Amino acid sequence: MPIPNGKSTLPQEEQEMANLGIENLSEEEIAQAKGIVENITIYIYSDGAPDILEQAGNGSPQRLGEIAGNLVTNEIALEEEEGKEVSRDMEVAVMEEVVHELTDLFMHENIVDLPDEKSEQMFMGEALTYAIGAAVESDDPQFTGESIMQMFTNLVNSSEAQGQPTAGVLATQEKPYGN
Amino acid sequence: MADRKYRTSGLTTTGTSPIAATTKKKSKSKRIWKAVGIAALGAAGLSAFGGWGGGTGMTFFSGLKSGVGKISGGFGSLLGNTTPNALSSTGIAGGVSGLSSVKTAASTKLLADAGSDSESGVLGNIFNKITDMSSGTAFTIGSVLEAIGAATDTSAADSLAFNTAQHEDLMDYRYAALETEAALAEADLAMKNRVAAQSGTFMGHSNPITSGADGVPSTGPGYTPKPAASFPEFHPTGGLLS
Repeated sequence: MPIPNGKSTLPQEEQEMANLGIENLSEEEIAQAKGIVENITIYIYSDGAPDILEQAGNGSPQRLGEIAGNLVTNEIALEEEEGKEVSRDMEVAVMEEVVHELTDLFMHENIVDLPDEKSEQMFMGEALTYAIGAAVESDDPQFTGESIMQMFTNLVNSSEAQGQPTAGVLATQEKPYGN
Repeated sequence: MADRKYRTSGLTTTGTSPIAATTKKKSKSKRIWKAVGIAALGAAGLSAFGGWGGGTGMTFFSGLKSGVGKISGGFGSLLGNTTPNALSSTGIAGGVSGLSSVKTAASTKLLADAGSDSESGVLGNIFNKITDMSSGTAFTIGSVLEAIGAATDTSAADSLAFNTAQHEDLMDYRYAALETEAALAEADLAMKNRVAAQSGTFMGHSNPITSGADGVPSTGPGYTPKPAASFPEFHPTGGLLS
């Protein structure tokens, strides 16, 4: 039996995710998430593309994000109508994929010009923010502002528990005027 | 409400997400960087904390600024009484320990480049910083929070607004003082005119020069003699003079 070398066998990405308290989906959940993404992708590249491109306007991240958020929210609602249970904990991960897919479509159609990876990441980050926003403003009672904040708070908690320092210099506390 | 955790898939050996449905043709990115995803989640979460969502009528942007302001404005506001619609006390309870570091990070002031105040400008600044910090792997929650806090930092604008308001208050005060001074001068002039008019009367009649001046009240008709008394018993028909 080989002697363990003491180093983590997890890839850096997984180690980092574990440090941040981001949980990996189970095999079953990955299959479900992939199924949702595939359904949306099939829609995008079949009869959905003309509608999406028409709604894309000038290709702002806001428009793309809102389209992505609505697509994911609707697809999850359809899945649940069929009696499947979908965890909202993976909804953001699904949105990431759909945002990436739509960004690729917009680039292919020359609606947006993103010359390098940095500009792509900035664009997709903004779009993802709006996608989450669109889902929060939907009628889904399981995906609300409160649940989003709870997810983020969990990340902060996990980060603190792992001893990750928050860098920076404390600002002086502002005092109310007149005191 | 169930405890929510951000859950996602890892990476395949090619660096793509296992739930990716296609191989991207145009994009140079194999996936959205985890730091970018977390920053988006953080921005949305802070915006919700600031009051956005749930039909509150607030915009995403105003919620984000408000959320960051609440964190940097005082830790107490996170713990209950003043926390509005977006989070219930149960929602906060789970994250009290973590929020101390949120406060610390969001209270930090970076030497951030001053960005546009527009919604897109602020989000652009956040993700610009995130992508500068992270090459796709190394980052901390603190750095994400710093980027959000710096991009929504309104201290310069707040200071300008405060100075403007203070200037306006000062000008209001000065105008009021000037108006009071003018009213006093008017009253003083009227009084002097009255004194001059009174001193210029003769047997109750006004001096026609001073009584015609502005602000001098009527001094009355002056002295009017009564009609002479009549004494019938001293009439010539039976009086002493007849």
